[in-house]
Amino acid sequence: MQNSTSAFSGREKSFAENEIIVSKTDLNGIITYVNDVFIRVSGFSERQLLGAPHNIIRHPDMPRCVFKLLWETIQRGQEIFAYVLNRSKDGTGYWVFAHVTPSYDLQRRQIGYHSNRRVPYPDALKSVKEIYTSLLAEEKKHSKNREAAEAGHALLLEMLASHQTDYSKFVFGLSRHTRLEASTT
Amino acid sequence: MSVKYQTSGRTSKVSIFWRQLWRTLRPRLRSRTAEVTAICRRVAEGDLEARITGMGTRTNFGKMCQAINQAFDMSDSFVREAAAAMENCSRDRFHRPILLRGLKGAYQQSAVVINTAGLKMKEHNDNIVFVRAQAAENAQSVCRVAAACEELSATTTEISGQTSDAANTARNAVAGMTEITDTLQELTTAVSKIDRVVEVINNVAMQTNLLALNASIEAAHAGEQGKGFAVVASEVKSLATETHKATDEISAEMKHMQATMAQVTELIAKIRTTIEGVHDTTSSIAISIREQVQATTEISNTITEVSNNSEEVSQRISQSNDETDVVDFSKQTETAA
Ligand SMILES: Cc1cc2nc3c(=O)[nH]c(=O)nc-3n(C[C@H](O)[C@H](O)[C@H](O)COP(=O)(O)O)c2cc1C
Repeated sequence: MQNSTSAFSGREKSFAENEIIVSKTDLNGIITYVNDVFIRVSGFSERQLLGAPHNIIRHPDMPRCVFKLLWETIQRGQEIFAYVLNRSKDGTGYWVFAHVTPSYDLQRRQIGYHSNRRVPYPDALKSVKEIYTSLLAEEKKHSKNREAAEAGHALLLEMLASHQTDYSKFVFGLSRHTRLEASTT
Repeated sequence: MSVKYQTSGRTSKVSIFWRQLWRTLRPRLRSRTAEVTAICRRVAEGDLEARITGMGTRTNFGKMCQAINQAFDMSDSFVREAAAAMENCSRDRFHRPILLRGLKGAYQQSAVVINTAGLKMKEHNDNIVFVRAQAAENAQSVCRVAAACEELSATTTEISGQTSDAANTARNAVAGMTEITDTLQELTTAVSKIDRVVEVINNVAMQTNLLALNASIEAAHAGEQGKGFAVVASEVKSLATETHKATDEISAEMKHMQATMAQVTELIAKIRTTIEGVHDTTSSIAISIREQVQATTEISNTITEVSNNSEEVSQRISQSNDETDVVDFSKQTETAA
């Protein structure tokens, strides 16, 4: 994996289309719950995952700006969808279409976050890999993590602006399977 | 017997082992069962955050807990998806359906129903967007028509004033003509009076002539002494003849004049008829124009009303797109009775 010159070309595995990988975290992104699919696909045990920060499955090829956007969005109390490449315990990568949302208790106090991950749609993945490659290239120009994330973020916003769209519409537009018309049968 | 005893002895040893194991495990199992029950109750109360953790994956108990969590995850996912999809719809954003992938059975079927409703909303919204644009355009057109109507109303009012002026002028002309006719009549009367005076003069001249004739006869009777008188009588006679000739001339001129005046009177009568015709026409034009003024005013008022209405329609339709008065699902909870 480390030797691969081009990102997103390493060993990959997947999970079944009708499965959802679920995790819950506290407000700081510390894992408080994982479902059986998460445990199976990540290769970690429940004991290893509970209490660990969520970047335990972070893949080094993922652009930082995606997580910056993720945290900014969920901290505003909004949902976000993102195509994410994760890394299991044995170093294998696995792509997911992640949905992250804030969680509330019965008094409507925000107590953490929830994430559902689905098998990504192949027609979207091609564009996602292209975009992430250019975002990553932009981030590589900066040595400091924060500056890298900000530069990538700026490039992403620029891309959205040039397509006259917002991130949510953009993400749903990537695959024909995620359009409203395709979700009524 | 002895075999039996032995066996029973072994059995009792085994059962003691199991009993002791059960004694140590029972409280743990009890507390775990209580924990799972409490978590299920929380979820039953609508707290979809509760999950069973740390029960392992290999034992039957662990597998049961996983199955329970799977049920909770499915409900949790469906609720999050449905709320988010509908929240987007309520903001006229129709790009985000409930994702069917991973939702199972009844959850997926309900998601399809909700997405279909979302698609309907999208269609309605598309229509509203179209109608909104159309209404805005209509409002503008109506506005232009209203302005044109107002202008039309103003010009017809002006024309109405001008035709009234024309009608008045024609009426004055008719009055002037009547005056001229009267004056001509007076003139004719005066001329016939002169005619009578000329006749009197002519009579006087004839009688003078007769007298002069008599006087010359008398002068002839008087002979030599009457010679001078005869000269006077002949002078008087020639004067009378000249007077007669002059009055004849005057008579002829008067006749000529009377004929001309008759012609003038006839012409003036014709002009009068024409002017009266003009007067009638301008009067009826004035009436028509007044009716037109009324009609255009009515049109103008109606158009203004239509203009106001279409303005309101436009406003209403654009209000329905206002993203500010959107239901905030995250803040709405039904307080339990
Ligand atoms: C509910 C939730 C789920 C997340 N899921 C993932 C995930 O699947 N993969 C991942 O790399 N990061 C995930 N993150 C983001 C991580 O918290 C972290 O920001 C990210 O891995 C980047 O790590 P880094 O800041 O150390 O680079 C998740 C965060 C939350 C709140």
